[in-house]
Amino acid sequence: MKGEIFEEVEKGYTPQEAVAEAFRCIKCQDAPCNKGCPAGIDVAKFIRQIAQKNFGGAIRVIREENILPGTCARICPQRELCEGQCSSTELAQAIRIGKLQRFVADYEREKGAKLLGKLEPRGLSVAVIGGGPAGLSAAATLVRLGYEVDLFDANPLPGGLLTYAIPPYRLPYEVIEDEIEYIRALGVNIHCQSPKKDIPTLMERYAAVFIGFGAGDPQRMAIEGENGEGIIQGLDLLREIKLGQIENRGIGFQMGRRVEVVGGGNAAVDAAVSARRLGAEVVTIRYRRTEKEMPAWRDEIEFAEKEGVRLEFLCAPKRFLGDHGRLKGIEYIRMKLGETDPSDRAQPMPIEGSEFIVEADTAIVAIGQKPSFEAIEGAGISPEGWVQVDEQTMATSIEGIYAGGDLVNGGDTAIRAVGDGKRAAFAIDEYIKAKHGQT
Amino acid sequence: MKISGESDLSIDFCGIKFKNPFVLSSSPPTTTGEMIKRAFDAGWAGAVTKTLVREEIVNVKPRFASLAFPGSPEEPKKIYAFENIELVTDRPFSVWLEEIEDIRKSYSDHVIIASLMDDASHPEGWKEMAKKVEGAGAHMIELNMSCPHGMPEKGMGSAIGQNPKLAGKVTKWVADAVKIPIISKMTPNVTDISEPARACVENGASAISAINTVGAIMGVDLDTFVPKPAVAGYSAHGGLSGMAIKPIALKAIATIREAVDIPISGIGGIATWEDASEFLLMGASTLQLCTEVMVRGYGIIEDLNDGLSNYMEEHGFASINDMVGVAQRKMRALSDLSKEYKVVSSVKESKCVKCDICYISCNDAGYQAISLREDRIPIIDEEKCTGCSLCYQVCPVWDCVAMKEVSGG
Ligand SMILES: Cc1cc2nc3c(=O)[nH]c(=O)nc-3n(C[C@H](O)[C@H](O)[C@H](O)COP(=O)(O)OP(=O)(O)OC[C@H]3O[C@@H](n4cnc5c(N)ncnc54)[C@H](O)[C@@H]3O)c2cc1C
Ligand SMILES: Cc1cc2nc3c(=O)[nH]c(=O)nc-3n(C[C@H](O)[C@H](O)[C@H](O)COP(=O)(O)O)c2cc1C
Repeated sequence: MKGEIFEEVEKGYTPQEAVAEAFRCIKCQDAPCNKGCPAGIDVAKFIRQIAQKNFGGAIRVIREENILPGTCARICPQRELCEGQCSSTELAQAIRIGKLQRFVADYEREKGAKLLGKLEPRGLSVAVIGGGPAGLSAAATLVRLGYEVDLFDANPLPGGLLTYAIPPYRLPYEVIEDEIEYIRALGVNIHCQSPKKDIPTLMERYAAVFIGFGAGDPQRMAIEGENGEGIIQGLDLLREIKLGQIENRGIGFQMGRRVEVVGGGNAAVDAAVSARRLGAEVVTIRYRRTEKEMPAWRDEIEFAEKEGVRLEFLCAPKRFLGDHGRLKGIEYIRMKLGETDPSDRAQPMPIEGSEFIVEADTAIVAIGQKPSFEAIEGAGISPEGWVQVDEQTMATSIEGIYAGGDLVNGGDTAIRAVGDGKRAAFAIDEYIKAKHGQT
Repeated sequence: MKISGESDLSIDFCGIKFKNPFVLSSSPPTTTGEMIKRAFDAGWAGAVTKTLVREEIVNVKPRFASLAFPGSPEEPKKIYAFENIELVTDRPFSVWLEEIEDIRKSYSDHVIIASLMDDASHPEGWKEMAKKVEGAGAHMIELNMSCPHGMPEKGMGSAIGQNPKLAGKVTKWVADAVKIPIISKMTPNVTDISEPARACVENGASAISAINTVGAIMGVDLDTFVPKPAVAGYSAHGGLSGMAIKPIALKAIATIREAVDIPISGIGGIATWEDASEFLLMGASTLQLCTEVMVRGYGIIEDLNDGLSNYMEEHGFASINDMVGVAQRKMRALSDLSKEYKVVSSVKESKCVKCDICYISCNDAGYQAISLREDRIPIIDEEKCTGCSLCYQVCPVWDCVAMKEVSGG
């Protein structure tokens, strides 16, 4: 890929920096950081290990719970999770848990990774559909529990949104690539370009099925001019940037001078920053609620602002204005906040007669994603279109079929997908043992 | 939700299997049987009871003092030296017997060692206690001939350990009275620790543990003029423990190992898996801890085990036994060390913070081999440099000054 505009921004710790940072930890007994981790990593323990220079032990403790340590270290919203709970926040500042995890993950990558232990083979197979963090975590856990695991993914490469969406300046492809390699080395059979839809027939060949299709389809706005030239989907742009890095080639999108980004989630923020890095002069994110309701994380928003992205609130696009089918502006309408909706955010309401027009060369639409899969025949689907599962076991209403990740939680984090996948794997193990006997 | 198994850290010590080398030393962490059980639940392989005596003990208050790194909001306080003027157990011998019996009943793969003390004119006292703890089920007996404060005034503790004849005599009494293995616990407050150790081994000790605390006075309160710790306006000298005494303990182990061929239980300043590894490499095959547990609790066993097994894996040690003594075999008399081997100091410019600390040290306590360039970067005169390494020791930066080899030997 040309230039270094997508090179990773955050630099890792040196061993000395890592030990010094870990040493700052005050070692609370009832470690609150542990409770902040959706994948259940023993954070307090791995910090202690780093403070004692036991880097090998630290990475093992992390990987035991999270099979994607280097990835999650880079992209977890730590401030909302483990670091947000840290007692040292009151003393000076929270321990940089994410950077510590990244340090040991990178350290191990350099030294050569050691494979985690596995139980005896059980002679039974489980299918995993979807190779995002949820599917990878389920597959790795199941293979360690002694199952044959076939993982099917629709894309040419596994990794889901990690591979195809999260920009390289936050998550270089090599990191996720190595972690997928590790999962292969554990024994998971990964089959790419293998979309699977007919789940019930899979049940004939497999003792159980885990599905983690994710929510990779962009939501549409259904407004005038939406299909015009110059209007792109945020996910398409991000995918092209990742492919540019993976295939080491230029980006096939032309960025205009003035770029308007519609949306308020992480995809909107990532797309906006990427547009800046691709050379756009003025990049503005317009979100229909206020900063407080933005689903994107505070750290990401702050980073975008540093990168020169402008934020405008309380306005929504009404139509795209074109000139011979080519975008030249957007008509917005101002919004005000009304009643609180079921997701606990105030509903935005249009203010009559407040329309205004903004000139734009490129519009990036990133208003959210939804599951790409219609429905699993017979499985419970929530009114919003997400697959419903038992919260403890991740079991769907169909026997033997489990689900996790964005598909069930409506789009959250990689670490939550990892936690879901792992929990489902242990529940699948219990289910199979109950059905087929212990051995 | 852990799938990986544990690695094997077990070690045979005097024919008794310890599932890992970590044992609580005779000290406050083994004040009661209930505490020992909690420690076993946490993962400790064994425990030495707080020292048992027949007489009644009353402790003074307070009985501890410590030295710590300053501690700032950025860096937690870290105790590096700990002093106590605590005596042996203040709980009745009969209660202890019941507790030892109970521990034996409830724990099948943990080792309970009874620590005993009496004076050197009471063979019957020693023998009776020894037989009783053996009867109660203790796996081994440790002879406390090393407590440096309070007890020596009564002819006990280090009053015995400092006298090889008495140490041998007491060991023999007990060794003759029981069948279980005897460990004699050494005091570092002697001129040559190999003498009492040899006397004990010759008289029936199956193992040596070293070291007990180092005689010390922690400091003086500058307003009251009373040394620390102060008890009603006066103080007494006590015993130093914690990380400050680790070098003394390592030296003791090396010396004992050279003098007698017998298992050693290493004690003194072990806080982390790194310390533990050093003790094993120096020749100890079980490890006893006190001060670090007093500061951080039984839970440290997890980090000790994990760090040790990671170290073994990284360095290709298949068992604890393979580690024992590897470093001690690299000890020589100073006069036997190579005179041809030469190193000189070198400074990595990119790391130098231009503090001139190395310059000052070399100038005022070395050989004036360092000069400062215009931009305050130190320049080494390799002709004048004698390779002493003082500059390396004082440099505040990691990885800046290095001693580079100029000719082999
Ligand atoms: C732009 C962007 C930025 C983000 N940034 C972060 C971040 O910084 N930190 C963070 O934690 N999270 C972030 N997320 C969210 C995170 O990526 C998701 O929560 C996570 O990837 C969900 O994992 P998953 O396994 O459920 O689904 P996905 O990652 O979406 O993976 C689903 C996989 O299933 C495959 N699939 C779908 N249908 C089929 C089928 N029928 N047959 C076979 N395979 C199929 C897909 O090809 C895909 O590989 C971001 C998301 C986006 C869009
Ligand atoms: C408060 C305190 C009480 C101790 N009591 C005993 C004792 O009763 N018997 C004994 O053999 N050693 C006793 N010791 C010595 C320890 O067992 C150990 O040998 C010494 O503290 C060095 O180890 P450490 O640096 O890990 O603390 C005591 C030490 C401390 C700090």
